[in-house]
Amino acid sequence: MAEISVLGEFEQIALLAVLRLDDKAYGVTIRSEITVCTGREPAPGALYTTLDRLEEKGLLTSRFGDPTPQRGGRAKRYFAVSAAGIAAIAQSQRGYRRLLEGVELPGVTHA
Amino acid sequence: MRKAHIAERILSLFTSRDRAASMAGDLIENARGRSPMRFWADVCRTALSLLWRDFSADPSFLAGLAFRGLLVNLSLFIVMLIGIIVCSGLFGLIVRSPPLWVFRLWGAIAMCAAQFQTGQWLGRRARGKEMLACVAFLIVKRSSC
Repeated sequence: MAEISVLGEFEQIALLAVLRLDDKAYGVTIRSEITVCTGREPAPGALYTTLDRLEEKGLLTSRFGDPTPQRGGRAKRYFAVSAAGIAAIAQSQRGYRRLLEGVELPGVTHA
Repeated sequence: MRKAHIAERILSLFTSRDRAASMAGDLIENARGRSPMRFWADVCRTALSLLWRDFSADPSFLAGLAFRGLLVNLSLFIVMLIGIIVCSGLFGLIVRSPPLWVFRLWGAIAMCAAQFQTGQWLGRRARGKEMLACVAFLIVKRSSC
């Protein structure tokens, strides 16, 4: 069985944002999705280095789209989560859920 | 779009050309309705993040490259110095008591040529990480002085 990568918190956030955006996931949309969902705006450098690292780990794939005039003829780099990426997210989320089982957070109702 | 071109050139010192172009495009898209200062701050932060990522990925390779670069730089400087001495000797045969600025000019040219050649040597050995190799070389050179 292939070894599943251990993910850091921001890596999970980035992978989940790419999953949510489906085929529209590129730098700008990923960053805004993270801002909308988590309330914190990631630094662009931190996001790009994380996306590159996830691609090196084989958890993400990327392809360049067609150049657009709005961006001065610069192509967008679209990301997609690979099967290994989905397995890694699933494992990480299982860990969080197990940790939360039976835990009562005062003043918070479980979703 | 001039600033996008400059940003792309800056970022391409730290990553591949196509990735730098897409990053510059993203930063331009993000910068709409924001101040130019914010755009340049994002470009600098992105460049620094890329620099740090490459440095932390393989520090031993960079340290080795910087030390080898220092040796190459010293060797080139010695070769240039020998060249200057030989040229000065030949020049002294033609012109009696040449002015001091001639030697200073040759010295400056030799120094620039040695630095330029060292930069090229480093660039060939760290494709896509040229800026990082030069920064590592400068740190080693400054700390060895």
